Amino acid sequence: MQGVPARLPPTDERRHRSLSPVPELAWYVVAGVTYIAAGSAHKVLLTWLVGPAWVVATLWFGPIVFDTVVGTLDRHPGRHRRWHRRRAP
Amino acid sequence: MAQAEGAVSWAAHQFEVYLVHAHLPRRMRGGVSFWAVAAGDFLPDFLSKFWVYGFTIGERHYGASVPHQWHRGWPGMGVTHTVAFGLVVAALVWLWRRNRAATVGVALGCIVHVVADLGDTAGVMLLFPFSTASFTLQLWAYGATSDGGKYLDAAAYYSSFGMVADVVWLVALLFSWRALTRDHWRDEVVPAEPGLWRRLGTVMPERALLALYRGLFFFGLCRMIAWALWAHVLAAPGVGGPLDLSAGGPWWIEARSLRPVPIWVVLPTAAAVLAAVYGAAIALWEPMGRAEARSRARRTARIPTRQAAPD
Repeated sequence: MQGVPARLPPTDERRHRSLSPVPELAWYVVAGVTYIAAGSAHKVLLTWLVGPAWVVATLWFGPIVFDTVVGTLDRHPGRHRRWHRRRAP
Repeated sequence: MAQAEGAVSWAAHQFEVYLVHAHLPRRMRGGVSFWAVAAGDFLPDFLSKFWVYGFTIGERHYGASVPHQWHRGWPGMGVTHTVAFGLVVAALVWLWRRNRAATVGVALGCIVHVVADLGDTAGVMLLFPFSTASFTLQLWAYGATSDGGKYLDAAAYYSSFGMVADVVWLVALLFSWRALTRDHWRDEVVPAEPGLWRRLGTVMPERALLALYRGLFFFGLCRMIAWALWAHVLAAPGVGGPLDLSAGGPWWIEARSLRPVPIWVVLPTAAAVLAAVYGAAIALWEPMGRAEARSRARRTARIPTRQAAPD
């Protein structure tokens, strides 16, 4: 895959990076801990709409935000250039 | 100011959706809609429970005067917690869509919800409309009241054998952990509703689709932990009371009931009803498939006719 460093996992559909099982589980844990904390404080969040939406949003956007932040902080931004179109030479 | 209380049905109702879908009869695997099972399971409380807790506007409270009668009895919305209701809803879905994946899913979801509600003291009218007697195992107290609302109900449930019931459903699901895997989702969930998942897949990556499928499990697990934490750490001792795992507990709330049948009748009747429903679903599966195919063929044949009509 052009422009994607070999050591990163391949993308699935729509240019989103696939997660290997451990990072995927970590994102579920992040979603669970934050949801339980928020739901315990604000029980209005403990509804069948918010709960599933919470985990979907975390799994969908969490890795994107994480990669963007890491890419911004990285001293070698080219590693994370897969989120951007390659410029024509 | 309006103060509405959202419907609360406990985590068991989320876990049972996956269990039903994971343990379908062999010929139905990959053919029953997961979302239909979820909708069928969700429907009884969606239709009845908002009025159990009611809502307050200004100083005035609107809601059921006898919540357990409204929720599980007749007259009342207890009809939504009956096998007959599940079958009627499934029949309406069939008449509307001619879709066996949705029809069978709704029926199984609704009926499993009914069976899961046998545990509390209010029980369900398992044999409605032939009998309005309440079938209950009297394992924990039905705690919904108009005064205490959702919070006292939650505190009572998570201080009683109800919490154990949630854990039992969770453990049962963990024994069927394959139901939560990507392979199960790909092989048995997506094939039943390929169009829906394909449309979602045009905007969402696969990891988000899988999270959507696992969303009810996530929600059930998290709400179980959050409500139990709230009942025993955050709200204690302000709301509710201590843990009491005795039958019909907790002792600190009145266990409300409705004309219960003898307990020894409950499990055999529930098992017989479940067996009858699954037997009927298995027997009707192939004829429904043929009827669905005929209906689809008729619809397909009608399309060119409509296009040709202006000429």
